[in-house]
Amino acid sequence: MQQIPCPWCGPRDDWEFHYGAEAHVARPETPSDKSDEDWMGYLYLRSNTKGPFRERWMHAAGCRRWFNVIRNTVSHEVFAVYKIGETPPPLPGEAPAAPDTTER
Amino acid sequence: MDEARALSALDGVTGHSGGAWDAGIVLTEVRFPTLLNLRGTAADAAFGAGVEAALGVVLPAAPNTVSQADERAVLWLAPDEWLVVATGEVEGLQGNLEDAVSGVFATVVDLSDNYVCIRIEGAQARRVLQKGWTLDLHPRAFGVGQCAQSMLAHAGAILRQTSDVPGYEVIVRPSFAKYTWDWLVDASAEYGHRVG
Repeated sequence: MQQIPCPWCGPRDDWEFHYGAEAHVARPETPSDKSDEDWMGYLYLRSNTKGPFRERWMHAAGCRRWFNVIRNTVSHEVFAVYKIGETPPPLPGEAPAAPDTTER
Repeated sequence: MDEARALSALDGVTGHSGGAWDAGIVLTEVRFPTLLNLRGTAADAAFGAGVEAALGVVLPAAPNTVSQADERAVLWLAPDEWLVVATGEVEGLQGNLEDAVSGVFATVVDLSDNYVCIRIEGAQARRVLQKGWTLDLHPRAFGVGQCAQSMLAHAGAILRQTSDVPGYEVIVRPSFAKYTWDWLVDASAEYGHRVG
């Protein structure tokens, strides 16, 4: 059984969680300005990364809170978890990222 | 006209009280506790102070912990969400709590009818629960003053330990009450059970 460390509840079995796909997909600040192509990109286009990937998970059977996970999509190894709004830790082998200032 | 009478999802399910005096497990329905869902900002001192003034209980800040004073318990459910479990004299409790947090960003919702509370106590209670509860309930990992949300035999449940016997309270949705009770009876069979 794989365990995912909830930032609040600690390690829990993976069936307690819902998957929320790629993290840090920012909703357009001014939606009315966006073209259909922009909207398609926001709604549907995802990076489909092979390897370490920033993604959202929700602790559905526990505290029901969304958070972010850096997970290797090949091996399922979890490198880090961080709360919504926190600065994303660097991906393995990557320099530290700039602070996440996305409004949520 | 018939007098209005409170009904529980476990009416007709728990059977008559009684059983072997030395049964390893005692199962009891906690009848009609007042359950209030409380949401607010944990970091807001005015919110915590208001809750403490209304309930006489300090708001638990640490995940999955319980603050209790007499017949008032507050369970941590999420960083901004708690469950107040109250028995005994509860007249006006919700109104007092609402008044106490009226000046801050907070909500109080009565969920008493949304849950059924089952107490399981006895020397073998931990063994029974661990048949369907994957989180470690060994005293090194879980004890009085702690709670957790997970699944008990596939039914979403809030669990808290209430005594060192050990005793626990399992809070489930009414639609899962009969299933959970029947599962607990079945899981208790090898130790013998008594209905409290």
